[in-house]
Amino acid sequence: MPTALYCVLCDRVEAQDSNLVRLNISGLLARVRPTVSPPFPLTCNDFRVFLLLTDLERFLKLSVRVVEAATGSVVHVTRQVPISSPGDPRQLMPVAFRIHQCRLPAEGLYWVECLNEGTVFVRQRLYAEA
Amino acid sequence: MDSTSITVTADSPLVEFFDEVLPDGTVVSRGPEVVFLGKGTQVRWGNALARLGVCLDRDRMIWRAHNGDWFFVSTAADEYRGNVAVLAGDQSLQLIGRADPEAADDSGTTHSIRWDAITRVGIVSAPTGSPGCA
Repeated sequence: MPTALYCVLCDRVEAQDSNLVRLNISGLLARVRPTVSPPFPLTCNDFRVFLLLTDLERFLKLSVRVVEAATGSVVHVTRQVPISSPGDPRQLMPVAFRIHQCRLPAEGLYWVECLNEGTVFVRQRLYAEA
Repeated sequence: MDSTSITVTADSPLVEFFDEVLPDGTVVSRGPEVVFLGKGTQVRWGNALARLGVCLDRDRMIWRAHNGDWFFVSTAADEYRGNVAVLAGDQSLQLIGRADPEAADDSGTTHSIRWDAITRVGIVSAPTGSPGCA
């Protein structure tokens, strides 16, 4: 399994113009709150799951899913992305999944889980609060 | 939303994927279909081939041209053509011309080309298409 040095929920990940491998991660996200009534279901229009990976295997199939902790229900899932890593497995590899229109059905804790070949290797918390 | 920012330095440029939900509910995948992570010329040219739509076998680092297409690989001195490309190691790409690119045998003419000597890769579509290259 790859190792995630960072698993960050955020608004944006942008490379610096002068150095493409230096990345600015902004709008760190731990909690979302509805701005409309009724508050739920809450639709998160756009956020990113940023991963800085190492201990890479030669072949990976990465995906991201969002799971409602209280029920175990998967509320959002991305496609599996095939990735090859022919170089040094100790390199630090940045990958981001942009999540669109993630619908959170109720208040509470959600797990944003990152998977390789269908197995979770890192997860991060996202709280939805009214 | 809670908001702040951090800066990190990685070993390769960021790769981003997203699935866009269209108004009718259809999900459209964006971003590269196949990605090579890392640094170095083998990764650079592997991604160039992937962007051209070259297929990748799951178990071995092999690209096979389909429908009569051919790959070309240029160096400063030569241009090579083949319909099977093999990531032979960190140092070189093997380009093989084979009667049937799907064959699992060792037939065909093989050129071994150092990744750091490559200046251009591409596909020559069969039979009259213009080359796509990177």
